[in-house]
Amino acid sequence: MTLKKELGAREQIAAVVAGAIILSGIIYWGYQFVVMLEFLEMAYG
Amino acid sequence: MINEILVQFAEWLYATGGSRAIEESFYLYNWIETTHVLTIMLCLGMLAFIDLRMLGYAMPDVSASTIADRLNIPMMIGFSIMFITGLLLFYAKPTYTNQSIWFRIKMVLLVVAFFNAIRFHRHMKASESTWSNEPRAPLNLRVSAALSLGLWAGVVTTGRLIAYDWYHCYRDLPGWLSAAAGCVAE
Amino acid sequence: MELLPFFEWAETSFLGYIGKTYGGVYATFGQSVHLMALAVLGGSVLIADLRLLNVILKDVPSEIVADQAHKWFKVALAVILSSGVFMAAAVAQRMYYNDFFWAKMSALLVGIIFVFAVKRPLLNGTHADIHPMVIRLVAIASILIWFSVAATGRWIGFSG
Repeated sequence: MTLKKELGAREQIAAVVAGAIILSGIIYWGYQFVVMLEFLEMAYG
Repeated sequence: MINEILVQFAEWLYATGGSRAIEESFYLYNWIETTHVLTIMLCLGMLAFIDLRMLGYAMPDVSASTIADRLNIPMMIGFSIMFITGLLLFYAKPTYTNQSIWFRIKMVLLVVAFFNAIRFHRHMKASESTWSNEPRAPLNLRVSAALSLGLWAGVVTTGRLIAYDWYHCYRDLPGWLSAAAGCVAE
Repeated sequence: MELLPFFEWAETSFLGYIGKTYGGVYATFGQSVHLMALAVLGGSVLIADLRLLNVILKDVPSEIVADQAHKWFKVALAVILSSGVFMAAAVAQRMYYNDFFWAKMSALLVGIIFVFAVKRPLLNGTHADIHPMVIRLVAIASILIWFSVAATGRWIGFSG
């Protein structure tokens, strides 16, 4: 019972941290993509 | 003779529109190069685990032929990506790359690695039923696995060194090195 | 906290001196070893995470795959950190002003904390007891963070 409860906490932490990493990753690479598009627009019109 | 032909071929390739487009673009060359380098994780990552399994250093409790069979597919996907991006990198800088001693050593190492892989595969298929569940493969396969790790380490090293022009034709090189690097008289 | 003096010092340190002075040592012991370690580190991440996502090695228990991959992950991490410190020391001041260097360091820090404080404790027991959705999230986050470390790392060289 206690083991199950402990695993529950670990699962929650893992889900939150993993979710935050995935979200930050999408924002970071999305931002890099936009910067690149703007640069290409400037370079090639 | 062969070096003259290679230089002519490289110059012809250099003059094509696609080659100029890749090298002169802002991002394309860097993307292709990044893809080539990052795919190391897929291609050589899987290869390393197959070889380490044969040597008894990774997953000794899992059947060796299972590891080799299952990881072969992602490894070959990675190899295909590296092969295509590698061709494109050569296409973008054919004259420089052709006369890079490192590129030439890398190609030789790749050919040796190819024959080593064939030998490894043939020996494994012929005998796997007898030892697959042992933590270590038989000696001749361990030699192949260690050789494979060494050859690919050489491929990575020489591949990285292509970027450096320490032994390029415009340097003062001894005759044998000049010939090996593919330099021709102006 | 002001970090620039540390980067200035790193470049004048013994490691920085060797890397700056001997291009061949920098390229082989720095860059090439870094790439070989990347192959093993990336391979261990992909093997463990693609197994957790049920893509490869489906007939091998994921506990064994994750444990063995982690063993080699630690070896590769030690090698990649050492060669990375060596390379960064030689060009420390340029690194200080490089956005991708800091992006990479941030991702690396998150990645290391994620592996040792979150992923390993989670995967320590029987994987069947863990909610499949959590396993999937962790595997995707793990691939994403290590891909980001590698990709921003490669881009340091392009943005110098």
